[in-house]
Amino acid sequence: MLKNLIREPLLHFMLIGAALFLIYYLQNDTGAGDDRNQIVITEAQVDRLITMWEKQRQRLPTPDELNGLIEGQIREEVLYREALDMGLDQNDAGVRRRLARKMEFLFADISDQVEPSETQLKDYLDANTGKFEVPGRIDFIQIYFNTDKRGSKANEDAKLLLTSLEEERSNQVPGMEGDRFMFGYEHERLSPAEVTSMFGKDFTEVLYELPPGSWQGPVVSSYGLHLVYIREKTPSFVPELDDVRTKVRSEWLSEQRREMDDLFYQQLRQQYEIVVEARDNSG
Amino acid sequence: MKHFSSLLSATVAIVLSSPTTAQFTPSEESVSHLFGGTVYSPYAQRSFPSRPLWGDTHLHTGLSVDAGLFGATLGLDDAYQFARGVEVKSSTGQPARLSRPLDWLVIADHSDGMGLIDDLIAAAPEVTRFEQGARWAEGLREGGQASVETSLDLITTFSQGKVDQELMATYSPGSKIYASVWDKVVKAADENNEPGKFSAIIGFEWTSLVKGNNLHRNVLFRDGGEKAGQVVPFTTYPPIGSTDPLDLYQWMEDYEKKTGGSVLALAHNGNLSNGLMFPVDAQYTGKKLDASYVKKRAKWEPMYEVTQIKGDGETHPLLSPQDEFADYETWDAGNLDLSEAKSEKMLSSEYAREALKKGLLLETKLGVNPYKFGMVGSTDSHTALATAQEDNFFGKHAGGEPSAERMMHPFTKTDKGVFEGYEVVASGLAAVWAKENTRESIFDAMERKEVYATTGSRMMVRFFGGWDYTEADLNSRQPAFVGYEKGVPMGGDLRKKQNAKAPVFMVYALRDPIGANLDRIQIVKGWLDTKGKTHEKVYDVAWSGNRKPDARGKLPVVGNTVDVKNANWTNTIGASELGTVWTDPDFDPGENAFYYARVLEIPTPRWIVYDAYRYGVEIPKGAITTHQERAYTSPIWYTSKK
Repeated sequence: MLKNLIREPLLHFMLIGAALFLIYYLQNDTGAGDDRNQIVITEAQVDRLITMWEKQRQRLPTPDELNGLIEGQIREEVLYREALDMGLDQNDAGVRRRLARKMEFLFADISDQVEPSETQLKDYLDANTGKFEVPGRIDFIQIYFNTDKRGSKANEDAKLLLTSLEEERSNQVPGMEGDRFMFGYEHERLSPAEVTSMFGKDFTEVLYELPPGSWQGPVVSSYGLHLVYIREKTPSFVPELDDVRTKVRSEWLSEQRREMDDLFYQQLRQQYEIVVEARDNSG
Repeated sequence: MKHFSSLLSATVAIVLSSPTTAQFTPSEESVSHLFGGTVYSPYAQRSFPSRPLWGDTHLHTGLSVDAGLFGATLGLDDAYQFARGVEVKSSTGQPARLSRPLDWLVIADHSDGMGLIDDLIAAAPEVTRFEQGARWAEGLREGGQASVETSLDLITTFSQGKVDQELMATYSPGSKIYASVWDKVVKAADENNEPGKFSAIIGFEWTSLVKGNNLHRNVLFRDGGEKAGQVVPFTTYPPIGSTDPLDLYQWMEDYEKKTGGSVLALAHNGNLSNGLMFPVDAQYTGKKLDASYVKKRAKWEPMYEVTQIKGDGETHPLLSPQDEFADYETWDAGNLDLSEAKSEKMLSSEYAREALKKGLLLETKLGVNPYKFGMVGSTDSHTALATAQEDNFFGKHAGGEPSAERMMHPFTKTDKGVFEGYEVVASGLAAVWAKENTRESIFDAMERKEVYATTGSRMMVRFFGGWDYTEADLNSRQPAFVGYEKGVPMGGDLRKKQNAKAPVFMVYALRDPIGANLDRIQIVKGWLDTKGKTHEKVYDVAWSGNRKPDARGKLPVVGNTVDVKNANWTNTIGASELGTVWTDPDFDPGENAFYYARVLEIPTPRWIVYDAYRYGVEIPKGAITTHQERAYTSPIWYTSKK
């Protein structure tokens, strides 16, 4: 029972989330100091000012410049506290959106902390086979008949050659029958998308319906007619987890991220009673 | 929040458990077969690419300052999804889908201020503590016309280099915000990269703008996030960035040294550089071109983006008065932001063909040809949608996505000139003859310049140069076999051959499977005579039908089937494939030269014709309605000495 609990990703998220929130609160507790009217500029803050300066100007600040930076920091802190006291952060769209986004970043940080288990990956792959399917491959040879050049005779020429190829039971391309073709005659291990990019969609659809091991056609492509001999068709298949682990993991993570974002939000939202005052739309 | 400390240990435990790396030493026998000898797989023998891989080297998402300002809300994942053929909702809420997926994509967001726009829109304190930032944030929030004016103000201020230095620094290398944005870019690419199916090539645009003159370069990585993630992009804003390409080259060199990776750069829109893109005597900085400059430029910039949304850059009618097809999608009103109008003398340093010629000249002077580049097209779209097809064009930025009015609104207008909305070009694409669809294979093909540009159609073009190709080679079952065996493909250098009289080229083109027929194939030759003068000539080498050139050698036009009113055309003219073997009739072995093929489609409607038909609006007066889409191959060079 406990074992199952530990494997539960939701629990992981909650644990990590809790930890991160804690760290966050601890960090933000220290800087402010106990005394409301005391401002402490820590050594760490001064170091940060120097680093920022150095990155932008490519040199260290002079003592005067450093004093200026520290004074700027103090000024910002004084004004910031006064502004908070006066409630200037209220109803400021910029501040509100900024803070809301910071929460979203915090969600994202938390969601990124969990690694999927072997079983989770396997289950995800099984549930989403379409996403990871390896497309089928086809090996074929073809002879092209250019309809621009041959006109209506192209079909007749192709059928004539088909008859003689059938009689010879040939699985080779004879001499230089037909017309020249840019992609050659021999096509190996093409996916449907690749066939389409070379011959057009109509050709692809017909090609996959043809039986292997004999001359077929003529098949119409974007360029004319083709006699086709399919040597081998490998069906599409779902790969083993080991072969697509990286991709499955990244898809799993991004789905978890989406789900967790939503979950976190819903959890927080539940704590509120939400009232949307209905507007009178009739007027 | 009080009793959580006991839970900390759980977190620590998860973080600390990391897998160990397996290590083993293979026996000598087990690896000896890896080197030489016979190969088991028959497919491994094929050493040349069998089909071109289609992509875009230049796409912006909402992360780019200007894209975001104009309303692009789509991000990295949307851009990849769309490129892979998935339907997405555009920034203006319209469903969008490509007719066919791309094979690869480079998202090249502007490196300066990457991510700034998100914070501007959110009026984040990092932005609003600056006078400019506060003003822009407020303007953007007001909406309507105020937002439009704010966007324009920001872009002008940015392009003129007047953004507050400290504000820029917050969104520049060195800041935490910047590093996290780049991290996101790299991660998205790695997640969408799928070797063999789709290559997500990591990149960025280095947006060097000198007084509104466009010197932009896109930088492409051969590597994945493991290496590209070790750096952040180079920018143009001082003190960290610079607008001088020499500093970009230095950054590239440093990257390669630091990570052992590889990068390349390619420039675009010389037509908007007002004479700065291809210098001959001195750079815009006043620095004279020397042996070091030409060497570096040749090394780091193996390609040029010759055609895109903001104009076609092959050549200009005033530079090529003999070329009847030179005036194609010409944008020559001025520089990028139209802060300065164009003058005629700027043109010779702006266009690809002229640069290829100047390169021959510089090579004899300085020892290296700085402009020995291959050619690709790309979109430079700022919508996260890589569209270049006339009947499916989503415009330059979110404001230019399909609408009844988009062709009426000027794209840029100042007192110096105007780029009209209807002049926006639905272009282009990059075709790469790579052996396989991987980042590495595509990058390597780009390095050897085995690439070509199209203005948006996917016509397939092979181009080989040698000394003894024959008609029979072209008509053989496997012309590509002979092509590689007896010569070099596009992007190569003609090999030396004893007693050879003149170079012979084998060129072959197939139309886009769902596109228009072909009108003709041309070979463009540029050369340097012995007196140091450059020349060019365009030869018609293959064409459709029974057309005969007239007494002066001019081939009659192919005709025109475009029905503007009904946004229609037919493939009843032209040819679905063309090819020939062509020997240079004017060859002089003492003159350095280059040759590239240009393939023209039959006339088809421009995107505004589809808009007018679909929205039922009038096409503005003066707008060009039909055009001939084209492909430009990378050149093949002939060098007389060495």
